[in-house]
Amino acid sequence: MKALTKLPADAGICLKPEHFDDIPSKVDGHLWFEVHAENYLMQGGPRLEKLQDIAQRFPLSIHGVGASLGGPKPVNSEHLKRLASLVNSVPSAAFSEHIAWSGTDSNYMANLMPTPITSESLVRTASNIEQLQDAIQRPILIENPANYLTFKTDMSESEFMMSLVSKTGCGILLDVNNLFISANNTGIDPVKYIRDLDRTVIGEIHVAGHSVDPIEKDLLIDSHDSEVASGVWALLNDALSHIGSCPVLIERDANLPSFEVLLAERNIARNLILQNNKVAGYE
Amino acid sequence: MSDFHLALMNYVQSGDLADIAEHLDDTKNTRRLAVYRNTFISSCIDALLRKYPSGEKLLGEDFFKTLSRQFCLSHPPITPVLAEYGENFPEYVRGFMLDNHPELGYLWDICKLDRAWYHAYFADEKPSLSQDQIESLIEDIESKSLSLHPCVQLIQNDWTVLSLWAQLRVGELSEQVAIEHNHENILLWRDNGRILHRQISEPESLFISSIYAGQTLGDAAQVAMQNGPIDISEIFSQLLLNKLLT
Repeated sequence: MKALTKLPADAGICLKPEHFDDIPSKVDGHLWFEVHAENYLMQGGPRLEKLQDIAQRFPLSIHGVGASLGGPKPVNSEHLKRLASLVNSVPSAAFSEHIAWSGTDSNYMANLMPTPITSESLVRTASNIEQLQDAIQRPILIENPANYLTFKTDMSESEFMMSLVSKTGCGILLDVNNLFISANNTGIDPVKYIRDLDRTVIGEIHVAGHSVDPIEKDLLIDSHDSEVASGVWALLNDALSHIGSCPVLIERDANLPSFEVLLAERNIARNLILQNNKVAGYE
Repeated sequence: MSDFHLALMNYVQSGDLADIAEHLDDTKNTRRLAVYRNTFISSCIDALLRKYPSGEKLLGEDFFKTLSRQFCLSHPPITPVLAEYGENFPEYVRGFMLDNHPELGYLWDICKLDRAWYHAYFADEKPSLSQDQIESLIEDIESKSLSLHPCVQLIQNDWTVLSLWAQLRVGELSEQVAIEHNHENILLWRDNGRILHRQISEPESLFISSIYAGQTLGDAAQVAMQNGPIDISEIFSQLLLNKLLT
């Protein structure tokens, strides 16, 4: 099987332009970064130049948020061209996208909207994944969504994800924070969900902070605006005990703290990876 | 498009629950759908806040967000790249202010400058003219055509807001500025990752836009001189010095 990513089995940080000049020259282990593809689809300028420089020094994962793999139509061809151009101009160790959709044709919603978990949707989503993989000439990782409510389905989400893997040869980006949120909001069993996935196709894990909805207090929102919650760390530990060695990313998109704060969170993830490697005898 | 996708899109953009309800497995869930609509609106507002920071400083956060919310509901994104959202926001602002707050009519010029800053900052890179190329221009220079660097932005404002905008862009308003209802031409470009600007005359603006349109340097100069006094060699030297000719 073709390697799903070239990321080190260490912890990385979601990198924002605000932190470009804060990266220390020395850090423990193999630090890597992830960026949102759509923030670098511009034609040129200092931001893209800086990313190209960082990609020469650190493994880089490119994470798409706009391909609408779970949308009703083929992936926007212009968007595919721009993603391929980015992948060709910036050395990268991994590429991932969401099982979600944000719109179609000339109508978008700036949002990760839920994909129908149905046999009919499976066919369209698999075709879209193949389209993206063909465009960038490499396997991608697909990320499980954060769910706020349940829609009519004819299979479980983990079954849907594994079917996409077997149809397209892609891997899985297990977002533990999303899984924690989905479990809270819709009542699924997160531990069973993880066990239902083939651990050999999980190429990356995400953890992030979430928030409580201001009106509906039992609803968690995937806000990425705070530190990782203790329950998410615990679920990460469980996931690593099942999966073994795997790259883990600290995501933070809003209410951005200093780089040192993110580095400290990254070191918590790093220690969990190391502990679970020892237990599983991976060292 | 499937019924589900159409119904959900319709709900997010309009708030109308009629079509999506049949796709829920529990009608209690309708309240939670609001997360998607709220995220749609807040993501669009955030994108506008990032692209039009001077507009927000001038109006204040609450007013700017109210205006942005109205804009996003009537002008949803047309591409999957959120950073590119709101290209026609300045024109929307112009119409809104004319109808509701004519005393803030100059806000659209402020937003135009923010938009130009964004375009200059993220423009493609292109090598400027080499010394050899510059020297070869001298012979029969009037018949030569050149291109502008992709970062070059020419803006014509209805109000004299450049000084105000420049202050807002680097921080808060630190000194009083007079705003007059007069045309103002501005050249804005990128230099080593920084965005620089300069007020130029109407003939200078015409000279540069004629070069952009592909006219020979001779024709561009003629068009400019017909519009008013201009030192062609001075503006041409400035363009060369700032590596804006390619």
